[in-house]
Amino acid sequence: MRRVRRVRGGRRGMDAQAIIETAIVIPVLLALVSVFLAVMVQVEVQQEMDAATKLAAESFFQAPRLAVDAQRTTCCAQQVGAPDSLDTSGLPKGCRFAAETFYGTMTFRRFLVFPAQRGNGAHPLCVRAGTPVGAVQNSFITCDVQFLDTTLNPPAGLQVVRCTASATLDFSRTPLAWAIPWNPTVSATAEAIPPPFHQ
Amino acid sequence: MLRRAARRRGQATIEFAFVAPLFFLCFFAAIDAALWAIQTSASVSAAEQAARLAAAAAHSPQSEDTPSPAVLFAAIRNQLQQAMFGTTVVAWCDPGGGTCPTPVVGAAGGAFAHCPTSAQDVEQHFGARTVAVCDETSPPAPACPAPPLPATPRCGDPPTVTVHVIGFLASLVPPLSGLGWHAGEIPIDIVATTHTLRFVT
Repeated sequence: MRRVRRVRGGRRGMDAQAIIETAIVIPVLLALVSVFLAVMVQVEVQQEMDAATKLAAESFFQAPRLAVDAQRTTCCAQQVGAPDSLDTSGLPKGCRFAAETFYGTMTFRRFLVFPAQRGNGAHPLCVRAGTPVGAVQNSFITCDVQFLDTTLNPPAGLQVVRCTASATLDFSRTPLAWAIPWNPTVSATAEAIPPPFHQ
Repeated sequence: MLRRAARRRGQATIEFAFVAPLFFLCFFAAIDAALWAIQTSASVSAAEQAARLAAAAAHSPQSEDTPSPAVLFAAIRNQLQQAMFGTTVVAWCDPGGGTCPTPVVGAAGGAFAHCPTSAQDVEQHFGARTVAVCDETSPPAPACPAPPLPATPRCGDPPTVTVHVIGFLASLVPPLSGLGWHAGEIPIDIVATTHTLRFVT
């Protein structure tokens, strides 16, 4: 009798152990799968942001040279169907072209938090020689016009535009939120030189 | 002793029945995720390349036209098709034949007068596991008033062109849409927008 009881107790213990093991392993497995998916999404966003930033920098030079946006010019709705959120009056047209290209290409916006929404700091659409040209809210792309190679292209040098973009992936808006408590920041930089022909 | 051994075998069978589907789901999902990454990466790259091409004029430097989806498709077909596994790549043109002009935003007309807004649109016209390449131009901006009148917002801007790579990719594991019509497919919608380069004569 005593022996049988010991065996039954041992089996019950094994059953409990199996349940505990399962209870530990399944959430860990699901968490691993979630992290894997989150990394995939981040890689995808990074690729799209690289492409968008490159196109934006090239688009800067698609605008007519020295053209400036007229009064009351706006662009770049933050959400589809929402009113424009960037006032580009007085900015070089190329700045708006870059922003329109960037926002038009980034289709992951619903998962992103714009840095400007996280604080009161303005994110300039364009800066020149380190000085912001019009502080504009709710944008996460900045384009800086620089002059390089002054020895080869005197006196001003070769005009180069460098666009930098950054955004935060907000996983709390996705089903992965339970396993991904952090919000990674994605950034990209691209440079472009003016095309040989200008419109 | 025999009963205990039989019970252990039964327990092992039940455990295997639980674990095996989960294991194979994770296994194929991992392969699927890798394939998805490759296909998406190729699509982003192709859309970027197509946008750059679409920014140029179609026929001559003075042309106002934008290259048609068929032209863009021909330029990026090899790049896309090599990376697609079990997925067909097509141009967003009427499969019944006829011309294939570039759609214009807001234009009236049939199904091919504008780019597809969802992957289901592509599936409806071209079947399952198909990705379509399409480009769409915005209407031209109004001309700027002659000086001394002040310029109006956006006057004289060249139109923007948007390239879509949209449809359903073939997959090994049914996505969230379940076992229905879209089983074995993952939706994809890659967009690239840029301004067209136009020369005024």
